Amino acid sequence: MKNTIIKAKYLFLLSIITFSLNGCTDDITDINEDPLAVTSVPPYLLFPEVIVNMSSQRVIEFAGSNMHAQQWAGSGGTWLSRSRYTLGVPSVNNAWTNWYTTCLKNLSLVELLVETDYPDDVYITAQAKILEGFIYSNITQVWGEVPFTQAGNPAEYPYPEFDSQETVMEGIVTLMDEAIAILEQDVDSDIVDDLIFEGDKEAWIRWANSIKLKMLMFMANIKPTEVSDRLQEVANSALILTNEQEAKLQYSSEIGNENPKYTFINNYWGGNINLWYAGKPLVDLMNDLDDPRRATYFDLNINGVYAGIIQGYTGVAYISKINVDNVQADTPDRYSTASETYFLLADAAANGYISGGLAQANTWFIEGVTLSLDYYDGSLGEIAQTDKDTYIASLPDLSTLTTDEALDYINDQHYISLFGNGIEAWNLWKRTKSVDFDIPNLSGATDVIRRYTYSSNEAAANINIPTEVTIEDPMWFEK
Amino acid sequence: MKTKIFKLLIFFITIQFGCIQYIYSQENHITGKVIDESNIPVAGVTVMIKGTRTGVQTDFDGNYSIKANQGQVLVYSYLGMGDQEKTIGMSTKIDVTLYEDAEALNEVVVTAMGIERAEKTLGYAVSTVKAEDFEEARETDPIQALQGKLSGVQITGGGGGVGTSTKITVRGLTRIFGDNNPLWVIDGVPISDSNSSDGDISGGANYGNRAQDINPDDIETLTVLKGASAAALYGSRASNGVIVVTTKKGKGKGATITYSSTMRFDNPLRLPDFQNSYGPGSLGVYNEADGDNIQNASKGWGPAISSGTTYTDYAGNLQTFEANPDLQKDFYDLGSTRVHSFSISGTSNEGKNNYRVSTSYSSKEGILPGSSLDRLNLGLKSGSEFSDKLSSEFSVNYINTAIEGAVATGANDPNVLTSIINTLPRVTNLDVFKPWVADDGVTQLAPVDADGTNNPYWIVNENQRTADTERFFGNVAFTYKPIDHFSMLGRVGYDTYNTKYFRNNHKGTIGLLDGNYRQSTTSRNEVTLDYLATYDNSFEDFDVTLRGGVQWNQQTTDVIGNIGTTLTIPELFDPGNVESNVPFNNYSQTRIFGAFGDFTMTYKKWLSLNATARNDWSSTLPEGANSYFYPSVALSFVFTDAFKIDSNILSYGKLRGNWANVGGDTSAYQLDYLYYPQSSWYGQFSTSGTFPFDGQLAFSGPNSLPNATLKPENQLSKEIGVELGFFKNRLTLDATYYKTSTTDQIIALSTPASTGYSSAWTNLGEISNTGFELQLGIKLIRAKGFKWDLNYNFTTNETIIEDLGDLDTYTMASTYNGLTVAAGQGESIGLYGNRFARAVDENGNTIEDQILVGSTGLRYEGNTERLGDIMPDFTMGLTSVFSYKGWRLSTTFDWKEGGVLYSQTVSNLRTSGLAAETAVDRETLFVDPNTFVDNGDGTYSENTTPIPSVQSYWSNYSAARIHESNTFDATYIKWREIALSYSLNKKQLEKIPFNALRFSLQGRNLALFNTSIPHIDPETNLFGSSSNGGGIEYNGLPSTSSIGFGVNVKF
Repeated sequence: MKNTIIKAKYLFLLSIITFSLNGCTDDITDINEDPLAVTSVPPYLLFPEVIVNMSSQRVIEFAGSNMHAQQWAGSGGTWLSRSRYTLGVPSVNNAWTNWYTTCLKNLSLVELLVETDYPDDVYITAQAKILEGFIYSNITQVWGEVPFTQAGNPAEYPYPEFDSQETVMEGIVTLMDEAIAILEQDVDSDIVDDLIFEGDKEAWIRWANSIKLKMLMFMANIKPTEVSDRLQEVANSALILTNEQEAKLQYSSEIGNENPKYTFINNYWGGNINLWYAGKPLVDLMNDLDDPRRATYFDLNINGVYAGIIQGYTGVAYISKINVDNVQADTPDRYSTASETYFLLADAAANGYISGGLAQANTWFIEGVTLSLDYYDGSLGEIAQTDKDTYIASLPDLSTLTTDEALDYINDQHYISLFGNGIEAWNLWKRTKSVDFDIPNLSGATDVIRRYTYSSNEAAANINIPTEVTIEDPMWFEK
Repeated sequence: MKTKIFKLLIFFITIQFGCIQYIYSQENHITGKVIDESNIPVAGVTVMIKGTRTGVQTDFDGNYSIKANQGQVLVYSYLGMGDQEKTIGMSTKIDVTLYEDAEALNEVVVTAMGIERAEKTLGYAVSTVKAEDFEEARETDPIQALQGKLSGVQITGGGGGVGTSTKITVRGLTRIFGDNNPLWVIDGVPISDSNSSDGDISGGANYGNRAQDINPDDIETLTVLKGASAAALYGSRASNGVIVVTTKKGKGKGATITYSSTMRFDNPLRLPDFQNSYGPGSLGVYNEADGDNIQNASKGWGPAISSGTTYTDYAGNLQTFEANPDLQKDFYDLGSTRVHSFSISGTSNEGKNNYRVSTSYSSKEGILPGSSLDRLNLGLKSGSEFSDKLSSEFSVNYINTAIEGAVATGANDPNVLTSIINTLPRVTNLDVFKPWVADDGVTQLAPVDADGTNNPYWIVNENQRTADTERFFGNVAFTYKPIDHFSMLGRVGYDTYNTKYFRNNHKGTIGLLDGNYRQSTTSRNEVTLDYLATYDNSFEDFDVTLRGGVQWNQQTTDVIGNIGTTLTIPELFDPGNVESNVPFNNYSQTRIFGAFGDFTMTYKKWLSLNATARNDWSSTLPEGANSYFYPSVALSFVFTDAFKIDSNILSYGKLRGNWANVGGDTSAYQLDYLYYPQSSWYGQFSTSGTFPFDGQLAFSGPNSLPNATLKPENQLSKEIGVELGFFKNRLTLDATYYKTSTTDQIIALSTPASTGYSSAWTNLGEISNTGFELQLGIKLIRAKGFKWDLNYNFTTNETIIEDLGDLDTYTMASTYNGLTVAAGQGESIGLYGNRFARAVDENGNTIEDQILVGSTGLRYEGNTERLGDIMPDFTMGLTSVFSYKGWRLSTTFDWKEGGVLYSQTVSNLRTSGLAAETAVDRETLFVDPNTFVDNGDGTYSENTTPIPSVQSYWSNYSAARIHESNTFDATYIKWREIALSYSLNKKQLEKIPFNALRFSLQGRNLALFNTSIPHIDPETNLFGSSSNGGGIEYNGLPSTSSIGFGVNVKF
């Protein structure tokens, strides 16, 4: 009996040893390496993911911002919902998540990879900082108070606090200052051959200054004396001043690289404009000015004139559609334009934030209008030189007007020039209110939309999210 | 590795087939008949010659014949009946009567690792379903045949699509993230039950879970090991319970051939209750002169159909309003299910070799036009005893499944069909949608709405969704008994499948006018090597079993596919024919190595102690933290034997209890910080594009923050139970109470996106499950050939999220407009969504019964809050079997009580004015009762403003953004199945060349009772079987009800 037990034990042990000899435990954690991923990449490889996704959010996810800017109006389906301020959870969640994770996270990885693996390539860090600032400028223009100082650092701040819009905007200016300081160093550094400026260092400096100018102008609305010195400084710096210098993502007719708005109309409407109509405030303004850009922006209605509709209404029989020329495969996403620079400078001068007064303002104003009219040269919607001349001639000399009248002209032209750039046009209105907006029909709203509600995903996961925020709460920079 | 297995397979195939040749040897026979106490012949009784391995089984009429010598003893045994022994004398004919009695509850149950144990000695609850339950009303999906028959499990069908998945969970959800599906083990070897779906809730199609590949006709027994203690030998894979399937093997002398055929017809179980009085339009008006058109008009808020209003239909013809009450019914086809099964089985060489070859062909046509499932099963199982010391078993299964025309559900996809069908105006004649395509082959005719909604026949006929799966699983095992009381088992198990998915949007599909297609292949394989040594002996009153073993398991999944967009030639689905290709690829491999031991000691057959221990090493956890230990202990005490209680009232009594600690690892590659190449960028409204962009490639960091310090999950479980038999076991009761607690869950925790990550891997939280299970068996009538048996089961389980760390709620699955399934701290898993705005008191608390209305007298949207539990309060099932001579009538009812369900279909029907209830009193502008108006100063006054219109009332009340009004109590009772069969007796069989012949009439899902949800079958699941989501219906296809007939023959 005892012998049997010993024998059994022996056999049992022997068999376990035999089995284990196959090396079953040795290699057990070795296989936990994903064959379809890597633990490090050259930092430039992260830029396309950031830039293209960032633009996709601006172009199609926020196509509704064109309705919020009351330049476009939706006549049905999702687009009517946007006109009526029904935002839909996805659009609120997608852009927030995409900008913070896909875009900002990868930019912080760029900086980390440069630091650890490519310490000499400091220009790449500067590029990342400028993109980071631009993305934050979009985020704060849509949501106002957002995580900034504690964002992108899960180890230290698992629940980032929401910073005031002032902090975010000041932070963006600081990012631009840091980036410009790096780019102005004469060092042996690689620069990324990027999708925006193809690695043109000077172009990146100009864009950084233009972003800075814009942020300072938002702040000047509330604290003019605190920012005027800095505004004067940036006004004297290299800025985006020609249409060729514009910061933009150029889409193309290459399949898969098309403008997403074009992909949309192609998938749903066979390449035509179906539910996108002209917004009343913009059309009325342009009709008053007999603006030659109307034919570029809109189709004539069935009576042969340009007519817009108040947001939220559906009777579109006599309303102009958006001209399909503005929604082509290669229509770019325009980040910062030259005309925008001039209008901001004119605005600053007219307000007295910077020197030059109304005379200088007028020069910049005319420069802005000219660049806006010239933008279509050599492409669809080109405006005849005689029409341009007539139009420019019809504009008053701002120096002969009061400051308020001059500002009204500047901001109206600025507003017209931002056609198709919904986020920029919407926020220009918030800052200047130069155009009278309507409260959309059947929206249930009592005021014009100022911001989006916070992402419900963020709300579910972040204990520090502000509550009781409504879409009608004004931005910090509004007055 | 692979070649090793292959060589081993070849070796076994050779020796197995070598043995089968000895089937037809001739002997002299003892014959006889086995009957029960009511003179009914008992089929399937095992007749063994005592002290040998030779044995046969009785046939359909209870007859047997066996070769044996005078003086040898025959042992007659049958599950649930007492053994009988007869010594062979002069007579060659021995008839035997078997009785049911207390001593008879010594059923053998297949437990973890394929270990067979007497049920009497088990210290934990198991539920077993036998072959006949799968044969009664033959399903193509074996899981559906379990509905209503088991305690401790919850089974939810996925609606009416062909081959759709059936979700099964054992003892509630133990995890808020990751897999809650039980482990499936066939003949000792784990196989995959992954859900086969293509895409997500936005128009994805569900092609079922892979346990459906098991041929129901091959199942001998299916046992659910519910608690962790029962499953502890499976270590880290045991925490969700284990379903152990034992397949049939060859028995009896010579060859037995069986053939069965089933044919059934399917119809929708429940279609919405539509109004048929109002046509399209708004506020009672439809006038094309004023710009109304059928495409954009509201679907059911127009003038009365009897008004004779004229309109231009979808095809452009001028029509007069005329109701089409059977619109939806006409759209769905009559579905059908045909199953043919064939098997040959037997033994040879005096029972030393056994074999069984089976094949089954199922073909199902769905109620959705053009949808079908075809499945071929081939199976071979054989066993051989080479000597007294060495024996082997071998099984191989091949399954080929082809599904066509799966339906897209959810939203945001042009192919979501049910919402189109359900919201056609009541005046629509389906004929207007035919033809659906112009002669050019790409222009869609009669679209429902040119801006977004396709012609339903276009979707069904032009846009395909198919999945073809080829699967192979099997195992080779050999047992070596070098000395008495000691045996060694070596086993190799292999499970692999390949699924090819295809779907396309034909050129001309609104939403993707240029067309696209998506093609992908998922390959998965799992290899399991087991080695198990057993020492088994008796020392006076003690029976001791000692086991030790090791297991090595490897799972590999590889997905490769391509999305091609903008087709040149419309129906050529090739990467060269499209303008853009986005290829994708996923790969994962995991391994577990486990060493385990099992000690069982039984004293005088009435006290049993079972202790198990297992240590696992997982590839998915950090080195150093990837080894973890799982112990369990179980005790069983048969007190009726211990105290020699032998009364006519209490015939059997057993107490049992157990404790176990198991756990789990995670998925592959969650530890390292990795950068992934990107082939596409995201764009809303299907506008995503591709990389390279302007020639540049893209990479990205992870969306989930990895964690190099993850540790294994831990699950602690305790269970006590009692088994009682009364009146000579005419009444049996089995009750269990359990509590499990799962801690340190490995979760991809949703993090604020502002951290840069959507989620972060971490160990978090605690979930407890407490439950009670009851099974009652009643042998109500036993008289003169009459038998009436009732089986009843009851299950209640409460899942509580005990700890969520810093979080209040954790989102487990989300859908549209903020509707989510989430775990809330201190609560059960619930449905969360928007409610109506309500008054608040001075402390800011919601006043539940004061719903607010706006200035127009209509309710409006309030906050997102908990809408209810998604899990039922309890479930129960009742099966009745009545038999008389050759007749047998069985039926099963299934009751699910409690839980809530959100229905998008109800929202669609009500907001569009098509639901019957929206046609009631359309002209009456009532004041919404018990509603209040916010005075703006913290006070509220009763609402006196009548609604502006019935249309605006329903459009607002049932809007998809207000989830409260579309959420209902999910309670239902289903008449799950009925089968009436007649088996021919021996006399009748004499004239025909069969040994057995049975005809049956059968029906499944015949009726739905006691439900408060309107329009739909509450048994539905948007998420499929792999998600933890539930409680949401989103444009699902109606489930089906079926009736049919079958025939079984044996040669």
